[in-house]
Amino acid sequence: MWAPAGTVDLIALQEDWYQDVAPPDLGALLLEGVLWRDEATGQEWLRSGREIFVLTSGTAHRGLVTCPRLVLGREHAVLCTTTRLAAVEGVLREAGCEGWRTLDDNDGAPRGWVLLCDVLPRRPVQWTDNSDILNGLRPLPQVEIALEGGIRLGYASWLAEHPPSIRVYGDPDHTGAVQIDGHNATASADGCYTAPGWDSVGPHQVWCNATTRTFSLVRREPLPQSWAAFSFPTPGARDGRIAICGPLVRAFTDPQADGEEAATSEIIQVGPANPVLLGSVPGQVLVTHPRPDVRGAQCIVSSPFAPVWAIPAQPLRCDKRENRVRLIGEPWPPGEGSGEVTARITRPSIEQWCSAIRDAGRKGLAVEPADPAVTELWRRYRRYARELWRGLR
Amino acid sequence: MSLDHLLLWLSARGAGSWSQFRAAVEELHVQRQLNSEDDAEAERPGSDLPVYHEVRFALQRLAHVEFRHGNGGHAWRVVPPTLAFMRGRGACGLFCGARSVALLERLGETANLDVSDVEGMPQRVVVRGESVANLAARASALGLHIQESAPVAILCVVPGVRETAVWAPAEVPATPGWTVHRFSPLELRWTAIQQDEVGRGATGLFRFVLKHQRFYYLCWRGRTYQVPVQVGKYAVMRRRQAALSYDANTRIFSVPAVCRPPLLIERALVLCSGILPRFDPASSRVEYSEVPRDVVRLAAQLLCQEVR
Repeated sequence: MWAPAGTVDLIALQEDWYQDVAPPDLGALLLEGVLWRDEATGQEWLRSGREIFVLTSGTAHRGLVTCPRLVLGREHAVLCTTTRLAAVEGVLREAGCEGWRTLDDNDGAPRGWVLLCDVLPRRPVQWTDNSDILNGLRPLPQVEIALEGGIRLGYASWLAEHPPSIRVYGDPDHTGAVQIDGHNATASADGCYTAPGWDSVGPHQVWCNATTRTFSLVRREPLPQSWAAFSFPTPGARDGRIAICGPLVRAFTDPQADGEEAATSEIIQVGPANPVLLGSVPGQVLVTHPRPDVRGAQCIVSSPFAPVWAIPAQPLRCDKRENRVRLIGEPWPPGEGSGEVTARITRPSIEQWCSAIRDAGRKGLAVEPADPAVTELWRRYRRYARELWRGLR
Repeated sequence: MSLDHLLLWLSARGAGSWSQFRAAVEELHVQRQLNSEDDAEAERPGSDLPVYHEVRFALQRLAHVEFRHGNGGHAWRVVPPTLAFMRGRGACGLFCGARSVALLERLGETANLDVSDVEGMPQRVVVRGESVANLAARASALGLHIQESAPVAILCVVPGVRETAVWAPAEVPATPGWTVHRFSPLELRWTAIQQDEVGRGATGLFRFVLKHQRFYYLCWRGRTYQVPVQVGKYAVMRRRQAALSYDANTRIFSVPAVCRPPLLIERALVLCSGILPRFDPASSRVEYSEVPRDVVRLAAQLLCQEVR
């Protein structure tokens, strides 16, 4: 962006706003005006110079933004050149302002300028001449209904639990009664109007002196749908992908899919010492693989069945003092429970299921948790597997 | 107005563009209350990082909202309401993601809510119950997702910082005019270099800046990749250069402010307590609280660092 005093970088803030810029010698630019031109497109930004600016807060931005003129009852700041200060203060007194603070260039105002803060006009002032720059400091006797604060979702809709504050700005002599949905409204000490039912869900109308504003309050519940923000290959596995969304870690149901909306399922975390998962139905076996690059990392897996036990990969070769058979799911009796994947159960998988239980039993691995009911459940699995194995032979 | 209002707004909208997010930060008058050193990308003391970037970092570290780059799809999207169980804390879960006043009220009717105000972040909501299974069942009935041992689950699936398969191959800008810096793992700071020096060395992390554009390139074994700055820093550091520290008594894990971990590793550390890390100006380190030893061990391996 070309500028008389060099170039300026404009960075988009919103669709119709740029981030604030701090050009050197801002005071001179404000006084003399500035024309900035985009070197590539030829677009121009023009700020005409003047000696007085009126600013207000409570707009769609943090901080103060310029506005056309003072509005009765609303707090403002006035930025003026030091040469205009006496005239500005005279008009502000006419408008009923009092107790404002004055900041000069020692306090951060541009050189040659002063900023008058906490300017609160209380009565209208007749304009003297249409071309008088001080007219911006002379409030009109108009009434304005303002909807301020709250959590606004759209142009005129707010979250039900966070409605806007309803304020009426203008000449108190001309304001008259305020009504909300046809009920007479009352003002609180801080100037906010309320009436029976004003904050209920649905549309509302505010009326004052032939001026109206409408707004609606809506209730929105968060969407429960899980989705995939990040996607990684399943660590240690040959295929499959894992999705992360916030604190959620999920497995993609389709190993080939990794889109944001792809279906995912819950994962199971098991210790690297117990990578073999067994369900309650014979043939329900799932072997997970520890992550090779991170020692002690849990095995993350999505199981097509509800696992009951996690056992070591090679029960007969493990150290029985350190390894355990762990109950990791619902204590379904053997042969019962959720058998959703019967189609995948084959004779080899049934043999694998039986062998895993028989090997862990022959090794004499202890059961965790060390609860008598869990120990008895494991005994039942061992008996069931032994009898099934004999039947298979 | 506060970050609580912003999170309620984000939850009600669900998803949106980056400009909508910035507009909400402006309209809700979210004030700069985060630590100015909390600045992973700019790394400048007294950073001029805009407030909406600070808010973005806070919300994504706390696992409330996900943000993404590029033009495809949403710029931000809220995480669905989730109860993230914290390792070793029993029947105690951290409420993450989208929230509403009504949902919090319903949750409070079925479990004990521990709501605390913490500077620089939305209210921390910890949900307590009689047992993990009982609490999970109640939360599920209200439509919440459940994540057991959330910090460990995340750390067990995210790639390590030297996992080249997830790096994006890229070419460094050839056009002149860029201001280029090289990251010194020995001094933990950026040093200015000439643009044509990039790529002469075998390995290095380079920062290219042109006006408001800022890109990070990692030269690694003869190839160049565009990587997140945190990943690049840890990739080029030797095992002790990041000076990771852990105090088992206080359970505080700390790193130099200039060496914040990559997003998902940092998220796992933050989810141990549900509180953003604290910047200690005396040591220029960021401190993560209530971190169990096994989480530290996993994080250190992913960062290819030793912990003192």
